Amino acid sequence: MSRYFYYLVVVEFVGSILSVIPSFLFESSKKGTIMSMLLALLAGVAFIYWITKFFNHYPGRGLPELLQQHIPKWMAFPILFLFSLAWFIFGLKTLLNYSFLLKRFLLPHLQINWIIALLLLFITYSFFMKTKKLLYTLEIVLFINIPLMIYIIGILYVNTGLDWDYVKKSMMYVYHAPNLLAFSASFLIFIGASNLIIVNREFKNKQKLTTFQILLLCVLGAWILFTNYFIPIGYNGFERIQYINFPWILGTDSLKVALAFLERIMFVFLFLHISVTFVNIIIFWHVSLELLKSTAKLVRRKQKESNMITYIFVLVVWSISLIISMKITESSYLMYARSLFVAFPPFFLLVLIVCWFISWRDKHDNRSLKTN
Amino acid sequence: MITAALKQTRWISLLLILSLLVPIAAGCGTKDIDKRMFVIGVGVDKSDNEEKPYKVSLKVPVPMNKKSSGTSPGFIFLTEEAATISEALHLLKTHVDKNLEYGHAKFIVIGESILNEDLRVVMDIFLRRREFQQTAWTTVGKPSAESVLKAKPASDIPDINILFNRFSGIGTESSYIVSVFLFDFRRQLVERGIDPVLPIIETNEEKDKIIVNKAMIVNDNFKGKLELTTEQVGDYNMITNSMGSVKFELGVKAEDYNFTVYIDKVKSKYKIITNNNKPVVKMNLELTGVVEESTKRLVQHKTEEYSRLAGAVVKKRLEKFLTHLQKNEVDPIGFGLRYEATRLHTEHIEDEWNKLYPELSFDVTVHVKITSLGSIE
Repeated sequence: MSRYFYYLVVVEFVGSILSVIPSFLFESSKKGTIMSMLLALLAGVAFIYWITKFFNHYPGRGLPELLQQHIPKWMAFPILFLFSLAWFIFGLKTLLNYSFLLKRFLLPHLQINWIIALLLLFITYSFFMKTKKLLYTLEIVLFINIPLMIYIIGILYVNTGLDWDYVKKSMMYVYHAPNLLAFSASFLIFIGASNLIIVNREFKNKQKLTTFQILLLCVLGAWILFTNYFIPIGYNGFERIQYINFPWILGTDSLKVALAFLERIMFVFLFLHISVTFVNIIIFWHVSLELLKSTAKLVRRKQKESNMITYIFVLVVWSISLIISMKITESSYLMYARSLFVAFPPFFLLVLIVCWFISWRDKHDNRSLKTN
Repeated sequence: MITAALKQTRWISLLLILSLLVPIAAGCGTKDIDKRMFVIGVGVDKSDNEEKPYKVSLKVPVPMNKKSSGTSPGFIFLTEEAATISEALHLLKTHVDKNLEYGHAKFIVIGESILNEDLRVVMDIFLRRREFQQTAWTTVGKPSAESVLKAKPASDIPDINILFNRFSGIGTESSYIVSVFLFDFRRQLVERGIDPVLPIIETNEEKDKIIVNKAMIVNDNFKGKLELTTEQVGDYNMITNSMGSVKFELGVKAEDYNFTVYIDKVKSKYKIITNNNKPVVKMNLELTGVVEESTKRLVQHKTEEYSRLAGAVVKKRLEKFLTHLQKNEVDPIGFGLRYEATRLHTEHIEDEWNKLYPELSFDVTVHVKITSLGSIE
């Protein structure tokens, strides 16, 4: 596969660490999180495998083009619109989570809507970027951040503050039946590949996902899930970890390092994470915008190039984000996120079904062409 | 030409966006460093007042001009009584003309008087508020937290690191000091199967001395507390190995010999075995050291015998220490945690362990390796 494909997957892996995903995992830490994580690992890797296999079949074409070709308009329209909405929500949830973190730990005196406005200023700029340029941005950001993040996670693993007894204790709860929320939360780590529905337009060469690459993704995913769940337990103990709102922040704050003038590495980690999440949001909303543009193309007769849709999208993004930021609190965000998370795995099943339907129609069309 | 023009407009638009940020940045209300005061130690005591049970003291360094004030650094001490710790902290803001910052609070000293209360309630604010470092050293102050913070030992270098050097291992290196970070204390406090240990900082009436060589075990279930003597702290450090490499002097007194071994490396591991009739903790220690002092001439070919003698001393000491903990129903080493960490979870595992612990016997095996007899025989 192209290296940009890995960036898409990895940015989601890394972004998961400081999101709400670990909190949801700890919520059921005594009721079968480990089983759910194992299941989610299988489901996630299977998802990546199927969706890349589908898109490798059609190099250089995104989902909108394929839908247009193989599916009647009245069906393609709602599908594209729904997908666009879903990707918008992914971006929104990431943005909210990220501004809560910023408010809580870096900018405690700034209003949350100001923080969001500040971020949106930069995100808006990205709406006018081409997909290709976006991938370049992604590459640069990951190149700068990932080595340092791996370094910090490495210190977390070898530091004497990490007590493996707590980790082992949490592993002793392995035999409980899986839990839906924990499954959904850990499945969400693997959705990065689904951005292919738009990004595949840039993958014009024939791609192939080999067994080795699948294994690599599998190992990487397992490691990220393991780190996500067990490292905070090793630092914060197991008994009451579900009552900690930001287990990873407390975990990284438990490190005392002697790195130049730095002692409290938590803030560095936060900054690194923030830049990774930032590109994550940009990608989600870029996909959402592109899907919206394609939806508009379906309806409009004239194939005239115009930025109208982008401007509308900017307006929608700004107004919705700002309105929500004024209404929402940390606890209500968690509540909404919980119900949203449970809805995500069925949604991605729908994505797969649409893909399958297209390939079925494609084969069918080919066959009928031959018989004619 | 067209692309160049496009690029130009891009840059202009970017500059416009950046210029929009300027007024926002001004709105942050940044406080300059001269408007802030950095608290380095927070002490919590119990007051005599029923309505205002918490007595909070802060130690704040004041940067001073060297010419005018000589060599000693200035500290101010703020003390206030209130119903809650946060209220006290809030009231203390009115005692100074600058903003109090807790991001550099390196010490949290709990007064001896407050240990009888539920420490989860007392420590709540330090975990909940984002400013406090999770790597602050948590200690017990004797006779009170306030007196410990106010102590000005003559022997210490006159700077901010008065207490810092002792716990970080940068200055003092001793196996008689337990250093406990706040996060470690918290997890031991809430976890069952392990009881938290806190170092005790002692000071005398004149407040010119600070001694740290004892520790306190706080039992979570209100069953009281247990003070560890200096030697027991050494034993504790040897088993838990929390210092990374524990270094200490081991005095060996046998019939014919009387010598001291300087141990500079300790490896310890233990296992809880319950399949036999009698539950037993099998503990294995490997110590490496050199002879430092002896009343008699020691010979090379008898090194193994000396090692054996030293091993017997450690074994006796540790078994005594472990039984002492068992008798007092405390478990600072975390045997209970290890028990739960090696057995599949069941609903009764806690009761099982509570029944098991008093019956446990300890089997300690110690291997001392004396690498050298020193410069002279």
